[in-house]
Amino acid sequence: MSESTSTVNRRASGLAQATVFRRVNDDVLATLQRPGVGWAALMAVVLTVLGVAIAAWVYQIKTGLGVAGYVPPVMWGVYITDFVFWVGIAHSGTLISAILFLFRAQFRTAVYRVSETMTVFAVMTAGLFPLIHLGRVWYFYYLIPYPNERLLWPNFRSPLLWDFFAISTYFTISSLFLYLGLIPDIAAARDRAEPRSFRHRLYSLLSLGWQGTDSQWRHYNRAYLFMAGLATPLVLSVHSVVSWDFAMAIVPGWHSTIFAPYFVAGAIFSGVAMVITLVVPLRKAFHLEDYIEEYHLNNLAKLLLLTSLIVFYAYLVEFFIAWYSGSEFEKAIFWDRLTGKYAWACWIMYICNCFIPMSLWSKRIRTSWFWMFVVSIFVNIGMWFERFSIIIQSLAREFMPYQWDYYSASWVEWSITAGSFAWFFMWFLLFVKFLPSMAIAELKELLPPKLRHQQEELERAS
Amino acid sequence: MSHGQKFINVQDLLDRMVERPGGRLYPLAVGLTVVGVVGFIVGVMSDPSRAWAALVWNWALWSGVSTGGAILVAASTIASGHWIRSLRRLAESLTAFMPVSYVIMIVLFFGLGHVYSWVEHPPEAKAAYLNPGFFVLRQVVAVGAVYALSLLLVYWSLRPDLGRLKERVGGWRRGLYDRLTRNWQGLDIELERSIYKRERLAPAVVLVWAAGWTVWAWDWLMSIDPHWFSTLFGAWIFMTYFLAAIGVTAVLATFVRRYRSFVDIIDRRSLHDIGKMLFAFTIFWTYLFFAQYLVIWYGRLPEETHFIEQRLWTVYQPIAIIVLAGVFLIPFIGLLGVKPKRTPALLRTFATISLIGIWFFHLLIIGPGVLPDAVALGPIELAVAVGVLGAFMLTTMTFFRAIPSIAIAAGLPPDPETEKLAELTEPHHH
Repeated sequence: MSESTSTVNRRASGLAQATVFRRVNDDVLATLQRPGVGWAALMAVVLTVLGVAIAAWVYQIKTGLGVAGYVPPVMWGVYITDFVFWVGIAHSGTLISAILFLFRAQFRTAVYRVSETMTVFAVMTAGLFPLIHLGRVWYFYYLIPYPNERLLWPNFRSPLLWDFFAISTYFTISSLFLYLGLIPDIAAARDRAEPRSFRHRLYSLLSLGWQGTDSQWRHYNRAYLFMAGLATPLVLSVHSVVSWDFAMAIVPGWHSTIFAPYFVAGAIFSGVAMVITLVVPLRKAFHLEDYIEEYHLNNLAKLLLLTSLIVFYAYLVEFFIAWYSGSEFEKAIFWDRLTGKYAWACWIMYICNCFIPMSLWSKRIRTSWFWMFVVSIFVNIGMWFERFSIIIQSLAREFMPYQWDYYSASWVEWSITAGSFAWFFMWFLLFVKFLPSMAIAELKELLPPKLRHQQEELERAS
Repeated sequence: MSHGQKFINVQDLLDRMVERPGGRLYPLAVGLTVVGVVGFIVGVMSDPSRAWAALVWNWALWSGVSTGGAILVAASTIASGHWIRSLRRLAESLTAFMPVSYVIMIVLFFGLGHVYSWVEHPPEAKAAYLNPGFFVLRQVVAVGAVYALSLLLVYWSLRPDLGRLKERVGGWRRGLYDRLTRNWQGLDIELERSIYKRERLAPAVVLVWAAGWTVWAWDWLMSIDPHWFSTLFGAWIFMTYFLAAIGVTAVLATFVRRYRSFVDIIDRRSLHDIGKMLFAFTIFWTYLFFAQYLVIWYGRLPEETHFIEQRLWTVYQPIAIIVLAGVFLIPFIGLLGVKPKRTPALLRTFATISLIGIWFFHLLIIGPGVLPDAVALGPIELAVAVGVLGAFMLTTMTFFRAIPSIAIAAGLPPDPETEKLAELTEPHHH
């Protein structure tokens, strides 16, 4: 090939490139168009459920926590289950955006915006439950670690206090991380919006004057790398702290050294499942088939399989060590798990978390949108019941048999649980209409090397 | 993304490949092994429990490293990690110790009673598990399965390279290459087969290792104190070996690039990548340590705390400090920046410190079990340590004398970031 033809070719591919870039902008920003009937209908359902939940909460505040199903010794119930569940859901966001970024796993690009957003909304949902669980919610500020009028500080040795720090740090970092990644994309949306419209003003404000200059990109890339580096240990630490809410106590079934990494793996497991649950319909609704491909689904499925195996490993090790420890209490609690009054919940958890995901060894299932959606729903259910089993079964069968009792959740708790899903989906529905749900800038990076000047030329010409 | 890579000529590389390393270190390695054997025999006659414990300790470390090498390769195959291409053969070389390790394990079965108190006095509740017969059965099966699968994985990785090189070598190497490439079906088909086999073997290797090495960790290390238990222990131990294997690979990389003049292939980016892995898994190791320590400290159950107390608040305290500094603090601070990861001498230093820390970590786990009142570190332990190190060096060096230290047929889909090695997988015709 001679010098000149290669130059011509390069220029031709450059023009093709620019049109591709435009298409990326068009397709992704098209998701921000005026919502249709389907969106409005979903929003109506979500708001109705949320309304019921708010009514239930008001009723609980007026009447007292007695309306929840608590029976001593089970004073942690579905609210704490929900709390741990939602914190868990939050985890894959940071995993996908930070850890996979550091590992240079490029399949993250198509889904990381969705999962990061999911993280922020899931933490916002999780954060409600410590409040809902309070007897007198108007004293919620007691949760904040500050000294009282006698200068007594809260107990820093309490894992519940660590929780406060962990969750608030996680919320701060994950929102900043999400926002940082959004800046160039918001600028793209700004340039597309009607001048002086509400959206234009909003996007101008949020894009912080982004122009896409080389120096801005340089700072952006450094900042993104540092944020990823800082967020990575956070993925491990936050859910470890949540696990220590349980593991620090000497309750059989809770006091186990494997809890921290096992909870982290479980959190990523449930989070990846939720990403799949969200991405499959999103792709269909917004015709993003060219962006979210089987390749991405396959990799998410492998991540799901990996974390399922880690969780499975932890279950098996727990059973063995319960026997090996020689402790009668440990043996009893794990035997009860399989055969006792809560065995139904435990078997749901084992089937959904260990057995159903084994189907993911098959590539045909890993690349099937329908089956992956189904599997992800089962995993969501299984991980909810994992927390339910751990929390409630262990409390209901503590050391003193005369205390044993059977907890079942009341309608108030179920309504609020349903409401938490509604609250989460409400934010998500708003998000897909206000902000680009895919990372435009990163999608473009994955295309062959960009030729920015030619693209600018083309855009100026059009 | 361009890194200013210069193209490497395949023929040149193949010529460089078949040059054998000098083998100047052979007398040293043989000498170390002899010291070890003599030291062990003297030890068995003077203080058998310490001699056997020292053998368990050093055998455990290097066997773990050798499985860790296989896992590093398997994990990066599963994750389609391209970064490991230039270092893959180095990680694979660690598996060469496996046959020797299996033999040492069989020897160790004869000394169990000197190391593990449960052989004589099994705790009633766990006698069904902790008894010599079942122990031997478990280890023969678990270690055998891990080794067999690992070596099979390495075999399928070597095969296309050896087939390509066999015309260029003579003597015993030719015989070896011919035997390992029996039923050769042509380079293109062999490359595809190699990928196919490795992609299917890799998950099996990791799964069997995670399960097998958990049982291995309970049996050889946790049962040193038969009353103690920790659910995380198995995973913590196998991740220790993963870290150790990364460390050994990093050290090998710094030497091979220099003395075998592979500076153009094992470039600073390769060092940077393995350095990042070392840094990341240093933190992960500490996380796993802390996750156990905190739960046990907080729970304050005597059946759990006594194990920690014996190791942190007795004569073993200095060893605990060495371990924490060596495995965590020094490599963590040292490898924080980009420069230390890319500078061979610094990377080698921090990797070596980490390995020394891991060596002391074994002393910390096993030592108090055989000698609670004094640190079990004397001439016998040192002799056995250099002996097993010598044996490990011998196997690795023999591997490199037989087989080139760079994987030519990386056999992974080409990656824009490592075009260089993608180029090398192209079959070259005259």
